[in-house]
Amino acid sequence: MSKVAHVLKETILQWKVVFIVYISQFFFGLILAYSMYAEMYTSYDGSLALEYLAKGFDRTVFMDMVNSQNEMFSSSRGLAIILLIVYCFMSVLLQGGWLYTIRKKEFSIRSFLRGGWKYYFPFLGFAGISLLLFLLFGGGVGYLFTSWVGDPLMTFSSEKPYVLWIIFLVCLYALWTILVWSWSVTARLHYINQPSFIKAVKLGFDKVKQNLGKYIAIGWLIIGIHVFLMFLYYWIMGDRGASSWYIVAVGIIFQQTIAYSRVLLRGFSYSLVEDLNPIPTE
Amino acid sequence: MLKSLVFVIVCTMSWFTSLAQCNTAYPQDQSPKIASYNIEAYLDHDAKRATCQQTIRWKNTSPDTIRELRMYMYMNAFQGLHTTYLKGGDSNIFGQDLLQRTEKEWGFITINSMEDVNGNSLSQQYVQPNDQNPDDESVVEIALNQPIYPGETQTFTLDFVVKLPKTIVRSGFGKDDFFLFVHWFPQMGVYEQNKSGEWAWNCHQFMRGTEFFADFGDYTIKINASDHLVIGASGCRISEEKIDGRQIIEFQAHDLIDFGWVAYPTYDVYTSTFMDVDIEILMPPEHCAFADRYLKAVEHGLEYLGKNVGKYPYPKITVVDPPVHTLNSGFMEYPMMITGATFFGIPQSVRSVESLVIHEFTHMYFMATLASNEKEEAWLDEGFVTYYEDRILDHYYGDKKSLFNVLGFTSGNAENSRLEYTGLPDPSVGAIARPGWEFRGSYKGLIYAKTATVLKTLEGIVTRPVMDDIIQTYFEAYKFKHPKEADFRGIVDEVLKKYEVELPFDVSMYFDQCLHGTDICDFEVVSIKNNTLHVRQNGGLIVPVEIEIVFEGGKKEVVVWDGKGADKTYSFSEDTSIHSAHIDPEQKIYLDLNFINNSKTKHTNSKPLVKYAAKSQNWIQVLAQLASYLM
Ligand SMILES: [Zn+2]
Repeated sequence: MSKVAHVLKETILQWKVVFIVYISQFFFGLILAYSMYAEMYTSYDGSLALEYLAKGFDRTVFMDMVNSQNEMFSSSRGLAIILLIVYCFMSVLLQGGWLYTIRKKEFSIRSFLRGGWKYYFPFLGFAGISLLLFLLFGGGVGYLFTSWVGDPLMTFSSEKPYVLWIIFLVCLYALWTILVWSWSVTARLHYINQPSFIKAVKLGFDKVKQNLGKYIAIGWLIIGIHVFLMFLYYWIMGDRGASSWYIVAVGIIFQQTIAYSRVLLRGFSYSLVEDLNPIPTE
Repeated sequence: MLKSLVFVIVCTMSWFTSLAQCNTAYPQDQSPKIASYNIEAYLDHDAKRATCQQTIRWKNTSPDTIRELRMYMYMNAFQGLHTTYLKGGDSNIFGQDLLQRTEKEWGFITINSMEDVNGNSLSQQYVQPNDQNPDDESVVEIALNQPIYPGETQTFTLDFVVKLPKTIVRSGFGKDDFFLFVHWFPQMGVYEQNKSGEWAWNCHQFMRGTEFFADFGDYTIKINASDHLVIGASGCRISEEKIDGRQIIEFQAHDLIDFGWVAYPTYDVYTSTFMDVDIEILMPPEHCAFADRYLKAVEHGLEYLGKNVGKYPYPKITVVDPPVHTLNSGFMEYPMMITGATFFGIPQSVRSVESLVIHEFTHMYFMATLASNEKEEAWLDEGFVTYYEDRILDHYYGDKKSLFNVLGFTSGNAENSRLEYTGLPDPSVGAIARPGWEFRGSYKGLIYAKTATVLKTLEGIVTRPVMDDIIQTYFEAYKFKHPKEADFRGIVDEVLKKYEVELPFDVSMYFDQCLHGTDICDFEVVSIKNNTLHVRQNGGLIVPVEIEIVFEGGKKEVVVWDGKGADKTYSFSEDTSIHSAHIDPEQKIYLDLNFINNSKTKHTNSKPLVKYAAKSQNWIQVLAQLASYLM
């Protein structure tokens, strides 16, 4: 229990770093938000159709626009993809700084920036390996499963076992993601102490093997909380329309509170992993 | 909100299964009974074929003396890729590659012998009235030894064999001994007056985009099949016996235009009675959780149509849920029997299941009872059915959320139908009132969706009570007949005369434009300047429409534009200034392709724009966070 309290305390200490990461996500989102706003404003300018949207989601209001303007949302769609790709590269930087502050127990912004720059390229290597492992497993399992199943409706007595198999594979994939992520964070933490890439890769695997149960528990806990936050958002907000600025503002504040909590949760998960990997005293 | 995500996978049904006995109080003499059939079918499930003895009683209701008969032999459409039905569909027709088929997977029907009442053997030859394709054997002509005089009824006996194809669409066999027998017996064409007033056989070859056209009659069908099969059918079960591993079940039905049956070993049978109608539902075990949804959907159909159209004319309805491995046998209507379709795990708030069952059930009114020519005028059943499907779904599950309601994303069924039409790549691609085989690609968007939207627009103009009166009058006048477009339009004129329809509206021109023309409707507020309003019809459809004008200071005025001419300018008194103008604020003219340009205001409400922009921002934040875990 005291361990959890310790990790929670450390998570709170990370608030500045969490805030920087949150703000970076926020600004990436804001770029898209502006583009969406501009596109919608041009399309709907002056139309009373917006009154329907103010009452809640209205498929007709969106689809009439999509049908009458083939280009509707196309520039925002393209922008969203570019933003995500750029963010992925930036995320390596943010994560480097973040893990550095946790490893060094120095939660200052200066430390965060120093760590980020210092470890960017090796950490990009870890990210590359993670992505590769993630894709290889997905492709491999997908290939094996589809070649085993063939035409699912001829192989199985009905679609039910097929659906259950798919659910099982999604869970398996989630489990694999947990393992890859655990390795990726652990290896990076060890790299900060001894800058040998190969050694860190190996140490990462060893540690994950050693604490397999704990890593898996942490992974499912993080996934569970993420899913809970998503449901909480839909449960509380649903689609409350936009009948007043007050409702719009409350919606945005709630949305951003959850976004901040998500980033905080990541800090919590890093601290948990760090706690499993004390700095070796040689 | 979260309720919308509930996935029903547990079977909750407790109502279940003793075989239904039909309510004998139902009238058995509602139709002219022109073509009646007795068939004894022996199913060899391994060979996927039935050997049958058939008796046909056919009544000549024309003033002509009949010297030859024409009959549908529709299973021959599945003989191979040379038939008119499958021609040009060598790969990926109905989602299948037919080039890979083995001999066993094709189907056929053959009359081994046919005799008249005097025992004379009758000769037969295949004819191709539609396309002269010599390889098509979907219509047979029988030369009579003894003519049938006006008003006379003759009886014929036949021996025939029907071999099912592996299901391409509708009829066929599937994995694990699934069989659907529809379009499966030699069935009489319709001898009727054609458009130029001459009496002739209306007996089209089986062509894609077509379904039924046949006369009413009584059916007694005795099925002899292995007793491992669970059997369901149009009609009522009147006797049943089991001998040496086989079962012999006799079904009877009155006043139908067709008869279908299904067999599958693992079906669970659920039965219930609602409004004196027996409901029998055949579900494969993996879909047991949907039995309740099927039942509710049928009950909604019975209740709503009973109240708004007319009394359900049969004592029973059988609902068949095909297993997903033979899904192409689903999505269809046969008299007193419909086939649905579902998939394990579909959440309750996605009502594709209800929408489909209600659609097919509504065909019991528009197709089974109002037996229009579905080949030549498919809009008369599919369009009307879609219109009622929309009404029923929206009535029971809510206007804007009846079709789906998942995590804040919602759609109504009528809304969906309109969008199927307005979302066509070219909504003016063709007229509705054409034979089914002339359509390419836009069949559903026009026949189903546009017709439903045309009817909803008519309802918007004449009001719902008047619309209900029209349909009820139509149903009462033409049930157990073969109504045509002119009959329906005649009823509309007759009913509208009873009411004072205030709007300047020419219903005849409306139907001409909507059914035979390709004109679209797209009203637009072009500009509002001080006290002047400029509106436009971007399409050619002429319909009256209301325009609501709100002036600065809040005063409102509604003007009615007769919709004639492309542009119209309204000037109001000089001391006023227009704040906003809205064409058709109640969306009565549902055919309008774009409701966004129907209005203009001086003050854009940017609150929803900010809300949705913020939502898109949130999505990037979520995705960025997820990507961070992987990088
Ligand atoms: Zn239909």
